[in-house]
Amino acid sequence: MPSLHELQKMFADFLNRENDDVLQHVQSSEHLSAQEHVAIYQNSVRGALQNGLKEIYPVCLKLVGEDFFLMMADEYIDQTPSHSSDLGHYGEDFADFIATFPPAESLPYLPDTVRLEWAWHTIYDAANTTRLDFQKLAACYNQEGGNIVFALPPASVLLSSPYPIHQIWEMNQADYTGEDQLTLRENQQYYLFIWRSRSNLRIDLLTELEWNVLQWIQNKLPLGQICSNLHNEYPNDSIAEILPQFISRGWLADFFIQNKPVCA
Amino acid sequence: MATTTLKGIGVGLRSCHYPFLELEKPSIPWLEVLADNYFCAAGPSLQHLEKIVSIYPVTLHCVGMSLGSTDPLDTKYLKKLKSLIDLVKPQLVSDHLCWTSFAGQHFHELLPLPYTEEAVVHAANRIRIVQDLLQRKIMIENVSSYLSFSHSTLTEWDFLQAVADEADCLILLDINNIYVSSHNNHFDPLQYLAALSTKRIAQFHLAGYQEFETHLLDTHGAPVYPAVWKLFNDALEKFGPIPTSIEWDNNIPDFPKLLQEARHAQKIMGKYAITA
Repeated sequence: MPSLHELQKMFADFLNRENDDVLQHVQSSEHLSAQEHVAIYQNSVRGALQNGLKEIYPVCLKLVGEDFFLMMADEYIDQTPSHSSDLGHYGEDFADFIATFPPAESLPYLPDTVRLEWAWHTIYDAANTTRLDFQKLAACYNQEGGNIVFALPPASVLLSSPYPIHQIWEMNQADYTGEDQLTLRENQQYYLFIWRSRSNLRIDLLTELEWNVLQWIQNKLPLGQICSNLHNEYPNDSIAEILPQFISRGWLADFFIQNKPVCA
Repeated sequence: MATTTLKGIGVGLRSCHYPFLELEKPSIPWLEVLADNYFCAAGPSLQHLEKIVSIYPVTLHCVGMSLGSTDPLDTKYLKKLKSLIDLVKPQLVSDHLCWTSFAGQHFHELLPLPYTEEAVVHAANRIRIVQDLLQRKIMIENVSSYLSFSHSTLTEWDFLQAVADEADCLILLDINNIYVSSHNNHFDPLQYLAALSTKRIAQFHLAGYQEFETHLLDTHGAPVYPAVWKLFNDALEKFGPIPTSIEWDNNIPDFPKLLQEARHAQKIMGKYAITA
């Protein structure tokens, strides 16, 4: 008689299609063999993961159709066990998988579209954005301007792609009523900021300059370093014009002083 | 019967029903909330839940404690659950008598335990630890079963009762699951009801299954079947008007359809409300 641990190991191995040792401990019945009994669980486990991916990636599902989606999902599931009790955490690297999945080669925009869907999924339940304390910022700016390190909203993701994935995403929403034609441009790069302010989820299209400054902020560069980068790469642009725009759009959620708990 | 202030028929809260519940505030005595859907830091789901708990009493129903697993208990999961309990102050908290993870891998399915003394002691020990961490009794739910292990030494009902007694916890008795398991494993569901002690039963579940040629599958995707309504009637007759919730997770209908199922359940329960 197997111990509970041994039985669960054998059962897990069967679910993972590694071996069928567990079958010797399962009774067959009038209608089903031992293998068919355990396969009911195997199918349910796979179905749960497939449904989880479908829920997170509805645009991908719509773009490729159910059969192709399930073909991708099945191969991904075979390679990728779930390591969280939360099904919403499953599928983070689905885009990377699709990028190496030969049957999807003819859909080069698909991995980035899937990255956008993951970003949308993760910001939905991320922590709320704090309100930037303008009074404190004004006081600190005068004393410690160059050492200020800004923070983006906790619920935010920066993405860039050579494909207009924001338009692909929008055109495949249930309530979309606009044009159904998409123009692909050679040598174009699209910069996106996907973020949530309270319950309002947004995809903002950025300029290359805005993208770079937001990346520097995301990388926790102090304002002095950002000014220096800006001077070198965009000599005609000024942080004095950029920062107020970022603040008014809600893109900056907080700040701290580098190497100091507070400004004096 | 276990003590709770809940009465009557509740329904499972699903996100597609947020607008209806928040705007129409339909008359329903309580809602059962899937706890695992609200372990997030913030966001719209949590905002909706906060609105809804300001209108309705709730219970929390979990799927991720993995009470029967031989993996270590997931303390991060239990801390998130404790935070949610503190936020929504549920009347009852439940999870399933099963395992869902092994060696750190999560299967997102309610997997079967062998009905052995070892499994009784193992599950009961873990339930006691969970109850200590959460500082409250929890309910354990019988799951639908699609197989029998050849080395089981107890019946399913004796196993459920033994774990609940050993852990000193409550029981959420899923009437649909009893029916599905009885069909798949060829036992008399009335024998199941007859064997259970009244004192630990704190809640019933009702749901729909899917019928295959070889077995029944617990899908929560259909109305409650007539045979399950009959078994519900039998359960009420034995255990009294235990608070009951309707579960519907796939092909979810509009809320009025759920209310219709709840009203039907209430009508059946009404026969037992006075004498119990």
